[in-house]
Amino acid sequence: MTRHKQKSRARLLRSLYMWHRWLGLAAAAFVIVLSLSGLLLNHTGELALDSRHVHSRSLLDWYGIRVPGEMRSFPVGADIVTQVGDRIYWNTTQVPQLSARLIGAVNLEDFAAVAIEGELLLFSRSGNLIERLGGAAGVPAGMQAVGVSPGGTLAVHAAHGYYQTDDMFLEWSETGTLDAEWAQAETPPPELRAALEQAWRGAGLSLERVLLDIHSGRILGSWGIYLVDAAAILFLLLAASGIWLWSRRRAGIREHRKRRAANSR
Amino acid sequence: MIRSLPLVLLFACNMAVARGTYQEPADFIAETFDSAPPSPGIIWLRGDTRDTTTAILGHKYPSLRVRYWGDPQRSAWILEEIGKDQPITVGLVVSGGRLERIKVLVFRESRGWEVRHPFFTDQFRETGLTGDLDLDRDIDGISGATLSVRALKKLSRLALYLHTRIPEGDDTP
Repeated sequence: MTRHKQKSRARLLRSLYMWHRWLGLAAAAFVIVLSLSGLLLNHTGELALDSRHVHSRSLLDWYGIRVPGEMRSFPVGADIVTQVGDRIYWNTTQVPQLSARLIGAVNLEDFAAVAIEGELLLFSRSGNLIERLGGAAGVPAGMQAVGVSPGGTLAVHAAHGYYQTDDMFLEWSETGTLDAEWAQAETPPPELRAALEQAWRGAGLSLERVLLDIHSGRILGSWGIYLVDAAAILFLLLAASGIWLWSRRRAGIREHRKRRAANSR
Repeated sequence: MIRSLPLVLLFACNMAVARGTYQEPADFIAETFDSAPPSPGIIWLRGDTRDTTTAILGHKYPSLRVRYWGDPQRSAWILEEIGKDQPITVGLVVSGGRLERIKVLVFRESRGWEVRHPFFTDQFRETGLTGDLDLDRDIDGISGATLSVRALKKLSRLALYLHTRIPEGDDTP
């Protein structure tokens, strides 16, 4: 090998070392993010990532999670029942396993009665669900409005007329007309509105979703995917250049040892 | 791909048919009492009743009171329990301390709907409670429907237990 060739080869090796070092530095950020998110995702079950929700306003905004449509509230004593999207809230607590249109809510002597499509829910003063009544319990079909009758019991305006029930909701009776105080939908007060908005949005984005999106790059939109693709190519280049440099170095050492052995003979 | 399309469609249709209302709860009650259901009664889940109910289900019943139709000899119940994610609505009839009938009325889950078939629900007939509040006979499970089977077993035990809480001599509460 000529001296000129040896020199250019050493230059190439040095520049490859430099490139390898810079590529490694650039890849470090990706390695940290991908390793951490991957580690957490590997233990989704144990960490309950799918049931933990993100409450960061900026992150929820980034995902475009917004409350759909208008909120409709019905005051029941000191509490307020509100429909947000397809969910129903007792103050700021979501009523579980419920996804229906809120018809109305009234405050009675012993209970608060909340009417949704096809069902009537009875709540205690502290907001605990006492009973869920359907057609089998005599709840009239096609409820349009609920109110309080002059006798203080629940009044229902349904598809086929007006109905009243007793104070324990055991018997129903149909009446011609009913002069009741019908529940009217209101706009929730601003502070409740803000709290409900946060509660609704907070339930919409799980920590698992965010971590998956960080891991795949989708959190940055379609460009994020290309960025993670670029990182993957970077890792491949690093691995290839690393192996090549290691093999060159090994060959150099072997050559050097051989030369030294020949000289010593 | 095109060859397997009918199979995929068949499976999708089956899933769509599996979920839904098999019988309205009101119709189940009417059928149980030959179209003349008695006035309903109420069991409040308080104190011991609440503790036992929680022990049977493994969690609190979602409401504070449960409605029944009938008397201490024969009663009908509409109860709900979550299989995997969604509640399964079940109609149960208890007669003389033993299950007379159990029927899945509304099924909302995407899997485990096989529990609605009579070949499964018929096993519960004449089943009673042991002293430990377990069913006094074995119920064969259905592979792929473990959680729904478990939900129905729990509801059977619950109905049998709640039947014992109906006040004596309170025929029309």
